[in-house]
This record gives sequence, structure tokens and C-alpha cells, in this order.
Amino acid sequence: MTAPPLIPGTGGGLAEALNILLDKGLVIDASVRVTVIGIEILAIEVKVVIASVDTYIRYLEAMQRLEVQRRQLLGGTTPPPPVTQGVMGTYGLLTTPVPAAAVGVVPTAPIQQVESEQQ
Amino acid sequence: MTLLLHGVVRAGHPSGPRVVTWQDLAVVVSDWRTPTQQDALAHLAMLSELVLAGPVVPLKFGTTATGEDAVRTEVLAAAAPRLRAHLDRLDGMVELHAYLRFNEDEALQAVFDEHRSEWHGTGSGDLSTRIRLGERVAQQLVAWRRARSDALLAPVVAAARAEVRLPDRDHVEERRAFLLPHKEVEPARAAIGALQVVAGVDAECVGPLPAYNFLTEPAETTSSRWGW
Repeated sequence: MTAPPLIPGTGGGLAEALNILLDKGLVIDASVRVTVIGIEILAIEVKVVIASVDTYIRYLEAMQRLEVQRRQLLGGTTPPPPVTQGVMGTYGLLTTPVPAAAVGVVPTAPIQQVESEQQ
Repeated sequence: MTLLLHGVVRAGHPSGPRVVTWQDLAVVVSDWRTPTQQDALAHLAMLSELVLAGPVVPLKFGTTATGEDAVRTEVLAAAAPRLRAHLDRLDGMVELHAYLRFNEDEALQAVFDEHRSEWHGTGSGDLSTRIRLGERVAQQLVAWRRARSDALLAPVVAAARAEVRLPDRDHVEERRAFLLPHKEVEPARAAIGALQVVAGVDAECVGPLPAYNFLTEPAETTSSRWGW
């Protein structure tokens, strides 16, 4: 099959439309002498929207930033910026940061307590 | 020899491709070979060119028949009333797509302004609460985007015989398909193209296309409220 020239005005958008239209079109519900094949063997990228948790968190953080900006513009009490934590700079997963000084104490005492309860 | 079937046209449709004719109907065909993505694009481009000269009923890509006799008996003769009804209904009509992509920062600002009172005291909360709030923002973005698109595309909607919402890629992109008379295509293309300048929207217009999205009556089409 030789590809005819693209329709004037459609440009590269035709490939975009193909993603939407590939699984459409009239289906002839007939005998085994007419079948629909070929779709499965095409590596067409199917655009499926899966709203991710990352996206939701990003939207929420944008709303919070806008609220902070609004309060600053109003000249009222400026709320402290959200606490940032994690390698990706995510904040808000924990409401308060863990004090660094407590880290050295925590591992020993609870373990001893568990052992004594088991005995 | 196995044939790949592309679309149904009226017999005598001015076209270059190979056709198999039965009475007043014809199917555009080509020799079968394992289809590639390029073949799928060529299939759509060919049907888009055919629709400029008359009504086309696009067949689902990958439809095959065992030979010309099967095309006549199993497709045209078997489905003639249905095919004629589609051709009559689509005569003089084409499908046009509009893809509008909104600036995400502007969309978020608009949603914030619209729902400002909801964002007091939402700085804390467990992860599930934060995800739920973020999902709510996503839903508000979609609602805003659709309302904005309704307003921007109102002139096209007014000229269209029918309209359907197409699947979107994310929360700030709107895709619509319109069934338009031939004479309304250029004004619609101009109106959609002008949105880039007038409204600052990244607007793309694709068509004329065969009426893929209007092979069933609009009342029969379904789409979820939020598109996911």
C-alpha cells in the first residue's frame, strides 16, 4: 500500500488523530470470511490517561503555594512554608520532622523491651 | 487473494484507489500484507482524501476479506441498508478535530481563584488525605478546561451537526470532534487556529477526516463525566 500525500492542513496532526481513531471505524459483523485483524500486531502508542499520585500531590502543592502567595499579597500573617522532606523534596507526608538528636537513642531501648516481654 | 478493506463509498466515487463494486456501493481495498503503523497512517490519509469528494464509511483498520466475492456478498450485500443509511447521513459532512492545550500554571491559578475557600488549612494531613485533595484539584481542572473549551469552541459548535468529546491525555488538554458540513470546515479551522492568538491556547486542528466518531447516533455515544 503506497501512502498518499497527507491532506493539506492536517500536517503531523494526522498521526495524533490516528491514535484516537485506530480502534474506531465500522465493524462488519459477518462470517469468518470477513475478519478484523492487525490491530494487535501494531505497535501504536495508545494514550491512556492514568492520573498518578505524583500528579495529584503536585496539584495539591500548587494550590498550597498559591494560598501562601495570596496571604503574602494580602499583607497578613505569613504562614511558614511547608516542611520539605524526602529525596524528591516532597513535603507534607509527615506533619513534623524527626529531631536529628533522637536518632542515636531510638534503636536500643525498644529492642531490649521486646526481648524481655518474650521471655 | 486476501484483501485489506479500508472504507465504503458510493459506486462511482471519484477515487484513485482500487475498489470492489456491488450495485450502488463500493469498498476501497488493497492487497493484504501484515500491516504496519505506516500502513495505518496511510489508511487514514487515504480515507481523509476520499472524504473530500463524497461520503465515506471508514471500516475498522485491519478488516480483511478472503477475496472480491467475499467483499460483495459478506460486506456490501449483507450490510447494504446500513451502509446506504450511513452514506446518506454523512453526505456532505466531514469530521474535524480540535485539540486545545491550556497552560497548566494558568489553569491551576484559575481553579485556585474559583475554589479559593477550599485551600484554607490544607497544609497538613496524611498521605491518603493529600492524594484525595490532589485528585479533587484534578477534577476541578477538568471541569474548568471543559467549561473554557465550551466557551472558546462555541462558534464551531454552532456550525456543527454534532460534537463528541474525545479521550484526553492529561488534565489540561481538551479534544473534541465535530461533524461539519463541507462549507463550514474552513471557517471552523480559522476559528480554532485563531484561539492561539486570541486566547493564548495551544490549539491544533486536524481534518477533514472521515466521520469515525459519528457512525452511531450521538445519543448512543458515552463518555465518563471526568474522562477517566
